[in-house]
Amino acid sequence: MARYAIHNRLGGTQQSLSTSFKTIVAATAATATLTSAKIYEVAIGQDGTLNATDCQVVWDLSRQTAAGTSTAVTPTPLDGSTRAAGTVGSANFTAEGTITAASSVFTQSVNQRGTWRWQAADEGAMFVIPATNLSGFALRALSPTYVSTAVGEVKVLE
Amino acid sequence: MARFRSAGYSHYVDGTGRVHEHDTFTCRHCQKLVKVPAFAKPEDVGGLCYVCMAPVCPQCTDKGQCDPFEEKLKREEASYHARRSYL
Repeated sequence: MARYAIHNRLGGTQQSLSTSFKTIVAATAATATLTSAKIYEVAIGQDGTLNATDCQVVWDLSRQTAAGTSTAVTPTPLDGSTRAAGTVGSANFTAEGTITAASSVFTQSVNQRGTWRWQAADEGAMFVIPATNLSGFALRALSPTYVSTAVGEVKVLE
Repeated sequence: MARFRSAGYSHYVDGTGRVHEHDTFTCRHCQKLVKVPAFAKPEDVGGLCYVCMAPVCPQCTDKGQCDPFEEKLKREEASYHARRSYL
């Protein structure tokens, strides 16, 4: 078992949020390195210029089945593993991938100054990425008012 | 709820810097994350599936049938590998 971190500061240009969902980071399987993985930690927050009007940012973790337009990022090993991750990291989407309808496993509204972190306490709580090409999870955000950048991170176990 | 093997932990810092912490569980049937307020009754945050003996979210509780997520994944992966075998 090896653990990896995938976040949107590993590559590409951070995109400003808008009123429709924008994928910040995605973790998916790929045929070339087909492996099943589990997300055991999710962390979200906003790192751009705050809006003068106090406002919220809505985050969502949903299942993705086809890739959008994004920057590929290499998952960072967290435990000294020398093996490259089989899971593919994608960040800072400029065009959304295909999101499975009604597949959101969590949605969370946070204040623009707020942060949120979730950790699985055991394996049964982890979100499973199936060993199916392009399947995985997309961590997305939108805001009716906040129009700057955000940081999202998922940690995977495979 | 922490005794279930689907437990997690949510840590939220709001706009004023106040910290809100919750236990969570992950629905064994659909993987939805459910927050568990302190002293919440099990029936208020979902339920317990007596077939797979795991906590499930309110929506899956209402369905009244046991279809664990692992079984859904097996079906999806079997379908994927079957389709790839024709290539």
